[in-house]
Amino acid sequence: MTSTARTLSRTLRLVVAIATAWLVGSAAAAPNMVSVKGGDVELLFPVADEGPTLVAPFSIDVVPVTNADFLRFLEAHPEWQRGNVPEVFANENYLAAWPAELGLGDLDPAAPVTGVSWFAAAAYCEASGGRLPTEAEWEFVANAGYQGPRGRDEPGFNERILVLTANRSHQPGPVGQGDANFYGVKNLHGLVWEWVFDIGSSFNTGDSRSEGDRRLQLVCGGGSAGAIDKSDYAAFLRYAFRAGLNGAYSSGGLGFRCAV
Amino acid sequence: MRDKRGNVHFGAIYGIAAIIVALAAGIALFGNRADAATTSNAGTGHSHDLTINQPNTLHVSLTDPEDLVPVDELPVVKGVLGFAPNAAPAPDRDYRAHVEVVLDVTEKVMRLADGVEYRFWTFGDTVPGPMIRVRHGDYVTFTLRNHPDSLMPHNIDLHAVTGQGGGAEATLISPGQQATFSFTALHPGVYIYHCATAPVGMHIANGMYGLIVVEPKEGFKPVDKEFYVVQGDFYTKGDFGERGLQDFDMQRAIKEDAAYVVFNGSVGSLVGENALFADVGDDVRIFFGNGGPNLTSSFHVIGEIFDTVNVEGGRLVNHDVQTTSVPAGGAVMVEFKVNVPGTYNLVDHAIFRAFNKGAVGQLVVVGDKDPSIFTERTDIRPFDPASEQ
Repeated sequence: MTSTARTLSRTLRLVVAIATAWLVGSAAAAPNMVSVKGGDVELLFPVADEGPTLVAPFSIDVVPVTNADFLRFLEAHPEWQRGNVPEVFANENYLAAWPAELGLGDLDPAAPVTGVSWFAAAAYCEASGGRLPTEAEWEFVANAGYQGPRGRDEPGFNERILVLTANRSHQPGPVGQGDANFYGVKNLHGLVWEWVFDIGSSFNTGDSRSEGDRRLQLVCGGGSAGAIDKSDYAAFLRYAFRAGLNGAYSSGGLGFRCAV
Repeated sequence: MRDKRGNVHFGAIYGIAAIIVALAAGIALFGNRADAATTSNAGTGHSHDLTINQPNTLHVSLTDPEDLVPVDELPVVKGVLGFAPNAAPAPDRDYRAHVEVVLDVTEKVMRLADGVEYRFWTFGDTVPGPMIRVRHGDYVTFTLRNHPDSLMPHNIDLHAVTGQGGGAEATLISPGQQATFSFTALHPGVYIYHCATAPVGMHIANGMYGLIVVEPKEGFKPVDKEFYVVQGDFYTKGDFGERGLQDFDMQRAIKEDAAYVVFNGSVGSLVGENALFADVGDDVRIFFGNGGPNLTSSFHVIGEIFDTVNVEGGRLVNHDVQTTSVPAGGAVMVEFKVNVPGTYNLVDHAIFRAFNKGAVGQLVVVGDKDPSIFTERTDIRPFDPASEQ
């Protein structure tokens, strides 16, 4: 009961923070961010009878949050250190690769931080004046190609991001390598999975009917029936990954970046 | 305009489909009658089981006293797995049990062919995944565990399960998670299981399949050797034999243009020192599955005839079969006596797959020759058509 209440209050605070961020600080993107004009985004499984989702202008980190970034956050916010964080906000895999509470050991400071729960990622973004990108925002950016806003119009794009997604290393390298996409954003596919604000799993009851439908589409044999691009296998992998998540989950392959 | 055309088109399809269904129903009725007539007239030959063409509700409904024992009173037993090419042992009991099965999901680079490696996604660290074997009516509690080092979410759809997605939704788990669900094995038979996480084709193409056998209550008849073989098609960037670590090729998979068609996860998995062995006179049973994702197998053993085939893994038993068709996502049980020594090649008789893509294995039979059944070459000499006249 208490933990549920705390979770709720935390989520509420987050929502308020986001609303505030949108109202107050919408203007300038941080130096490590790029601003994205927004527009219509076609999600892999559009909600029936609704058109494309409209994404308002936003800014997003060029690269995922790194180990070094997260270490600084932990120093300033000890409540998110491994020994202090309540179990409801982070499961036992939280920062499991870190040899010490505040020590990276052999971990590359420039590599993306992983093993971070949704709550911790959201708290990090909140502390830096931002928030996690919504799924629609993340997909809007990730659907862009290297030359234009619609990657799937570029020959070989689906194959390229599938290889990047499926062939990731268990020890992701430093952020910032590889080509930036049309919006100037990097490492969307080849390094780690990334949290989004609305992961569409059971802890998000906002639209349980359609989320439930989508979850079914992602796990059953006819899984591609409603998908807009049946050959975008990398997108199937992303959506399926999100379908299995809850907010306290963390794993070695899952990091995040922030948006404003 | 486009919508309208689409509707007309679909209308036509439904119409044709209705006619086909009606025809099929007619053929099925007629076929049954013809079959019964033939059987009653034929006094000799194999003693075919006449019950096989009757409605199978008897086999499906579980009404024996043992089936009515509440689950919490059933003895709990650990499921014993079989790692290919070894079949899982038969359930050694004549009562219903609560069987606990645990399977781990891993992602690992393994050999696909000599000099060729592939990033497999596996059940139980092997391709195919371990063979599971339970008894008809068993209550099975199934736990799937996704290794923390995995990068992908996975799940399992067991075709032996009656229920939502065959367990797919219940078992969808991210790396480092495990999930459990239970089912009663309502139907006996030989069933495929596979990963059903989007994109399903890719998960299957990467090796995520195996067999679950639900043995009839009376048990299969005892045989001397049992083997476990599963065919699969693989889609690599490089063509067959191109060396190095090969990536999955999505376009190739969509075109169903397999670079490899193999038994038990790699070229040569059942060849040479890995061959299957039997002794002359042995009754051999093969549980043969086809994981796909795309190709139907024309399963054949060169130099043998299947004494019996449980068609599509079900109760229908066919006799004296040369080649049996095993659909993707399907399985079969074949039995044959090996009468004379030799090396018998298991192939997909879509034969370029055997000799150019890897779908070949060997059953080596050792023992005494029997010239009354098969003589080796008794004569060889030049053939001169002119001298024949």
